[in-house]
Amino acid sequence: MEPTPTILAELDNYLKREALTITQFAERSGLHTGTLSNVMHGIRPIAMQQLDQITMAMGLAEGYFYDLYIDNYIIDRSPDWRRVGPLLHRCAELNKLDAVQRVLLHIMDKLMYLPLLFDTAEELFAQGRSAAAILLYESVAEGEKSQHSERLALCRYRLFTLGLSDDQDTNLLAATHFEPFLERLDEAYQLDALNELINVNASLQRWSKVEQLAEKMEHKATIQYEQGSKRERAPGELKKPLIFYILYAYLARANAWRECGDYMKGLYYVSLYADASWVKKPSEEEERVIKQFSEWAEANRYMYHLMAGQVEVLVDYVNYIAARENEIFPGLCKIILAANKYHINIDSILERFESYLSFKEEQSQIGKISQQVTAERYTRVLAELAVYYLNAKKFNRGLCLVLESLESSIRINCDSAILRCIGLFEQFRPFASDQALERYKILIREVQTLNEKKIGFSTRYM
Amino acid sequence: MKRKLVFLLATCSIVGAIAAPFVPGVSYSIKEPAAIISPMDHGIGS
Repeated sequence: MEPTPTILAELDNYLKREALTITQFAERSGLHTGTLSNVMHGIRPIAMQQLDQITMAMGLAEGYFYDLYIDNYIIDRSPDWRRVGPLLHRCAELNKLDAVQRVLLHIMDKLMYLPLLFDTAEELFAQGRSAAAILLYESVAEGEKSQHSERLALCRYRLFTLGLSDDQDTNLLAATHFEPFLERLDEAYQLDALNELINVNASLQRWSKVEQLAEKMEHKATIQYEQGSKRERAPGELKKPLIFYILYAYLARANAWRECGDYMKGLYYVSLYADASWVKKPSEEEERVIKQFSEWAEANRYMYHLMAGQVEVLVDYVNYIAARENEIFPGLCKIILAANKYHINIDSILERFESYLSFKEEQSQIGKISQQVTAERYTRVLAELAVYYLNAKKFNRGLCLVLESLESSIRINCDSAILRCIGLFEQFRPFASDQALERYKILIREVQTLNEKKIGFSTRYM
Repeated sequence: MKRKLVFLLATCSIVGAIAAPFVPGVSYSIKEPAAIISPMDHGIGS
């Protein structure tokens, strides 16, 4: 039976091979000779920084010995946070997620490490090391005894935000898993959590859920505002000014009511976020928020009238969005929809704003727009643009856009969007070029693969 | 084989529901989708 390899044995072999003394290697590695000697004689364990110095001096890749370090100093001995903590940080830095997982599996029996693991997860989260942070949050959540602990709720919140992607199925799952923990979150996080839940549900077109969450956010933010909660944010608190959450709740509720067909109620909520005169002595940041919501109110009023068939507002709407670059793409989406619904010729508008009809991150005066919302909006605008050109008998261009929309629908894993594209393509198949048919065949295979994954079968027959 | 048939059946149902026969000289327009998808308001996603 072969002896278990150790780092010290590897180092010893190296020194013999290179004919180096401890003193010479200490000089090469930047370690103190006495320290290195103690380490090599097993008098003291190797610290992470020392291991990194030794590894570099041996000419090996960063993290080369980490798996062995886990065996020698974490698993074979009683784990000490003075070694575990720095090891987790370094593994995260080098993206050695398997190593992180190995460490976690070993130390999770010791629940006293839970607070330390949580703190480390928060540090990694702040550094943007999401993959490693997710592993730690999952471990903490699993080990948490009390279902109602704030730490568990915060873990669930972090896992929710880190789990969001372009995939709508994944996002729905993430939102559904997190929502029961919302009320257990510390108040400082609840408004941002509600904001993010509203955006995810809006991207999924779940408007009754949006209305429910927005009502909750309005209620909580209003109470905090009326209680005179600090409007100036301290680091680590709300991401936006308090008044944003109140105004955004109105905006979300307006959209939700409009979706339910109640335009009057929708316009009522528009009037609420159009006028923020109740904000006393607004700061510079609050002024920016108020101005942005006021502009959105004006744009949305045009849009509501347009979607209700009052086509005469189109010119004013176009002029309005033309003066506000951030609103051109969302505005075009609505104009194309209205054009299809009311058979309006918008060729000149499309030509004027052609460069804006591409997928890019959306911004407002107060921050980024949710990536999930943008992805859904882009997928839909492609399909609507396709319908516009197909109705105008520009079949080649229309079918090309159908295929682009299908590709985007597959990327965001939206079944209804996929079916719509398939339906459109099949309806106009006789007009499709050979190239389009070939591309369609490839995309349908991807749809089949996606479907098979969902229902859990293999795709061997393909 | 069974899975392939189920998938083909589903696709054919969709095609059958919306595809119209190609007839030269007849004008062609898209059927209204079953549910009108409304756009999201300006500002949604902030």
